[in-house]
Amino acid sequence: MTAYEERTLPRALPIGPAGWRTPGWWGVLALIGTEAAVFAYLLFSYFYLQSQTTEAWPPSGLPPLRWSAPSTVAMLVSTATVWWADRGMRLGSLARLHSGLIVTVLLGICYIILQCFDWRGEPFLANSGAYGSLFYAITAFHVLHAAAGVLILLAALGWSAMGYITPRRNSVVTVVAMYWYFVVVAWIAVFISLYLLPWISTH
Amino acid sequence: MRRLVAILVVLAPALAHAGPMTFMVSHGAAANPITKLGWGLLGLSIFVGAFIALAVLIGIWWKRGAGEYDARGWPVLSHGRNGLPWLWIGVPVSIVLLLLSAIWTFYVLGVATAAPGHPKITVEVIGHQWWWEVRYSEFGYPRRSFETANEIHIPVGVPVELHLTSADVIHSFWVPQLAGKTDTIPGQINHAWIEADKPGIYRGQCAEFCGLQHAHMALYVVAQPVRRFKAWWTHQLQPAADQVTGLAGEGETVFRTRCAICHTARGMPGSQGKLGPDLTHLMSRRTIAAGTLPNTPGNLAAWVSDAPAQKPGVDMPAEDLTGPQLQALLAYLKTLK
Amino acid sequence: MAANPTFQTPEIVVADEELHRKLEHMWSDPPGIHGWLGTTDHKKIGKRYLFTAFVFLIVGGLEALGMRLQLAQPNEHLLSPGLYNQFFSMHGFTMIFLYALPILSGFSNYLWPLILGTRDMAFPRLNAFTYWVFLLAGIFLYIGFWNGKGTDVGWFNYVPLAERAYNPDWNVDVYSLGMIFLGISTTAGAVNFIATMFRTRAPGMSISRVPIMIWGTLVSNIGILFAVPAVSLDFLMLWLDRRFGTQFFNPSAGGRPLLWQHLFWIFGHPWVYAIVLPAMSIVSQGLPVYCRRPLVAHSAVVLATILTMVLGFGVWVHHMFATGLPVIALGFFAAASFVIVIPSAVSVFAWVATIWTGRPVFTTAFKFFAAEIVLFVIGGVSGFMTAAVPLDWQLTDTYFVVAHLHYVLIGINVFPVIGGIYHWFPKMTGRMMNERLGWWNFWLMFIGFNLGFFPMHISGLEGMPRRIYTYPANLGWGDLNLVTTIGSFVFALGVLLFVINVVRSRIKGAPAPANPWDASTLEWATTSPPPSHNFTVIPQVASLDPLWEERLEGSRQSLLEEGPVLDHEHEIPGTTVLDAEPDVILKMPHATLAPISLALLIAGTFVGLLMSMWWVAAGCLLAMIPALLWWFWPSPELGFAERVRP
Repeated sequence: MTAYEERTLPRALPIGPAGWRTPGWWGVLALIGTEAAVFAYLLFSYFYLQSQTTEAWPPSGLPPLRWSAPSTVAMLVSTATVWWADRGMRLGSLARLHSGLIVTVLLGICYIILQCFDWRGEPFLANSGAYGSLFYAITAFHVLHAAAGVLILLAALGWSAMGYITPRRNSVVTVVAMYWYFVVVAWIAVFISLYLLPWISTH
Repeated sequence: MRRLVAILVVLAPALAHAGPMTFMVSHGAAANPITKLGWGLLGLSIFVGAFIALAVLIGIWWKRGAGEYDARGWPVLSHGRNGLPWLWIGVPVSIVLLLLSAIWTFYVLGVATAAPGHPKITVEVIGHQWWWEVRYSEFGYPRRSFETANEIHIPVGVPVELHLTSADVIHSFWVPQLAGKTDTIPGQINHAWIEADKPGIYRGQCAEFCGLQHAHMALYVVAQPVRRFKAWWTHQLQPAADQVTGLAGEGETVFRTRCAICHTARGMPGSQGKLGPDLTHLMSRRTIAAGTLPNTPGNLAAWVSDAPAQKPGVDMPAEDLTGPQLQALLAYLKTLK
Repeated sequence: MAANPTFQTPEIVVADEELHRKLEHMWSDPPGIHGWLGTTDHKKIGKRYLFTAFVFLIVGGLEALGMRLQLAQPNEHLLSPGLYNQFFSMHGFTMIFLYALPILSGFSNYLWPLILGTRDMAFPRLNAFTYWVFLLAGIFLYIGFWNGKGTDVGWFNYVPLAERAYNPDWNVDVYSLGMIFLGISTTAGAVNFIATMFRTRAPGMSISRVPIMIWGTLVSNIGILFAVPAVSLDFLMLWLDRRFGTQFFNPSAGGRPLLWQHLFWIFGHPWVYAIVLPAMSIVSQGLPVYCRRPLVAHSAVVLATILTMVLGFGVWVHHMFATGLPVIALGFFAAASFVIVIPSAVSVFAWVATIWTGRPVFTTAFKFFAAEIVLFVIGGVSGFMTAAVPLDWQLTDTYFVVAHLHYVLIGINVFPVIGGIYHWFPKMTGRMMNERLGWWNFWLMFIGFNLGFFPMHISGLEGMPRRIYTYPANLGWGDLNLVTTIGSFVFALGVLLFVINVVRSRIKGAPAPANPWDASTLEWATTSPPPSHNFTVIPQVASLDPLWEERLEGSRQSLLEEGPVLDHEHEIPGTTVLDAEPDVILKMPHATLAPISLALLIAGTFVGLLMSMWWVAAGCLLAMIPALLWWFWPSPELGFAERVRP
């Protein structure tokens, strides 16, 4: 027995893309941290301008819940579907993975379309005042994140269809799912700040 | 040690001659407590800096040659003696000094932000690229309001409230011997106050970078005994002379056609310009172009005929005046006493 | 086709020449342009960072010398006001963004895997990407300057001065987009350092055995992760204001100029710590080596480092004391700023105690590190003075603050960096630097620096405001400025000597042994310069100072010659966060052109946005999708796919 083995017996270690063990999981966690900070600073700007204004806030009435409420429901449901997909793959069911990812992608696209309708219905533009500038900046920034999320969900779907993702080589799905949870949580923060709080404070 | 000597050698003579902008000397109730705090914290800082510099130097030179050496002549490795007492003593002492400084700081903060009594005089100061618009008003007497520029007169021993804002970019109002800085920010009105405890002319300067001629945006605060201040106020309320004749009369015409679009000479019909400083009592001011040039006939002529040459970037254009036009205009400006 | 295994039991071997040659060949970059542009070797990337950042230091230094000539006497006309304003703005952001952090990234990139006892960063391709983005963003930020329209509203870029109404040229657009561009590099780098620290340390390097140098950079990069978004967002909003007429900062449409300052300083103050904490940790790492003992109070210094960064996020308003905020806010932020003195005191006393209880060796590196302590304290106490709100109303925006920030940035960044080069140059190049030139180098820099910057304190107390291109003769500032100018040229001469020493030593310095300074950490356990795979067998770490164990503890517990072999393609062990137990074998990528391609596409996007060529921007943006797919393609070499070609 060598000096090394006296201390640490070599044991079988998983290789490569094994779940949260990969640095990729940490990398995406750090990425989520920095993206969450962007949302935090956007909302900081929003509440700061609200605190400084002497006029009505929002200046042109409440943002309607007509589109944003169903889009919030779509986002909430998508967390369940992506969790179902991730869990399914760990249990060895590629069918669950594929169907879960497809439904999540569809829900994500649904959210983006609903948000476009919401923009069409707003009575202000991005350059008609600081409120409008921030409203569009925050919501557009979130839609961009959702679009990026949809694209990486599609990539994960494609790679799994090509046989690159298996229960032992599952880091891509773990990481993509984590990113999607973040997109949903960020939307809930945005929804509460931009839509719900003004609505509650006037009712 | 070297640090301490350097400080004494450079600092002492430099502060001994106390230039007009130093704030280590002050002359007003808004600045005096800050000056004391400044000297106190400066002294503490010099002490701390010198102490650590000495500690490092002594630590380096002290026990050279003691102990064993290895083959290459370096001291052999060791755990060394226990160094923790440095932290156990140094950090708590730092915290105590810090607390004392904080208490003093918060005391001064309270004193400096609370203007004593009810200020009778309110001066509105509006920063422009690159000059100061000054509006005087007396509470309850709207007719006793007037505008001037780049020179603020205050009565000695009376706190004067300042309302500070900006017409364009951010500037910072600063007259070091009377008070600390307060920024002038578009869209908001900041409050500050100044008081001078002895008559004198106090120089100030814009302290926030505001563009090309940030360096040439000075102002003067003239502190006068109350009686002279009142006389000055009464004089400032007068409109510009309306019966000017001769060469000055020709100059008035030049002023009306060439200057009045941007400048005001109160009382002159058609002279309501707001883009440049109010010139009603131009000749009562010590400098022109926000402290850029002393207010002499020669400088005035140079400024009027080609302002951008004196202060590149300024909004005032070069005027292609003929010789006689210039002479006439200067003659008129001289009447704006 | 052979099965691609999902498990492997690493064989334990003693390093020998044959294994060394095998790994050296396996980890070397392919020859030619592909290997040069596609390298993911952290050592090459680190050296590129160091070189590029130093070039920016020299460019920024020349701008400073230009300013010093203009200010040497009252009423000078060497530089026009417009050019002067460009010089001070470019000088500021060049030093702060293109020198101060990238130079530290250079050290960290080069040293981290060596100190951590592994073979590369966690994300080697991301590492290459961050360098290319940094380089391209640096060039991007300078394109305006070469066209005579560099940014001229200061690195802090206050609105409304930076808005279109007051700055119609494209200079601020270049700066805004360039800062967002550069932010990508900084953020990606931070992600990489964090993952590297938490997942790829050598087995046995538990959290209490992580060298101080790693802590400084780690804490800095965690701070960056949360600070940089504030400034990127700020510049994005400004660019939208300028380009599309949004109203974020316009007070007549509900916006606020102070919103800019809040976001800028929420970023700005943590950034100061991001660019000094790693440099302080260079001192904490290097100083004990020359004091011939371990650092006093290692754990306390680590905690102080973390505490400094945490507090650093709560003090941004101390840059805004004169903006008319409520007194209660001023009091809170003044108190928070005072508290930061405490962790700083911990570091200073730990260094002083290390010198007092050690037996210093007077190498050039030691001189730089010891000088840093003194300069740190001077910069620290002047910072403490500006934390006192009422006093800050006098001090802010005067030369006192210029003196303060240069004592901080030169004292705590440049001095440790130069000392660090003297320290690690033998490791990086296999050659020693010249100590005799080093003596001159140090004293010229030290004397020049103090001669140049100490009098600025006094100019400040004499009321000289910052950012003025000239001043009248009757205010008593002339002599002080002349001394400052002379000092700055002496300092520049010192830097020139350093460059000469580096070039000369690179060519004909004495050959360096593996551990010329008898230092304690793992980078000194491998050859100078290290082989492309760093360590032939992965070390097993048993203490904070593995190379000193025999002499300090009586016997060596760490295993450096014997360990897991990991020689199927690029492999490193992944270890657990706290205990550093191996729990996965990571497959690392080879040289690839994907990172530089993506960096060029990002550059194309920003050029498109700058020139309002929207189709160029959109085209580059779309082209990133295939580039990213190429990058992240789950290749069999990285452990994806069930089967590999034999």
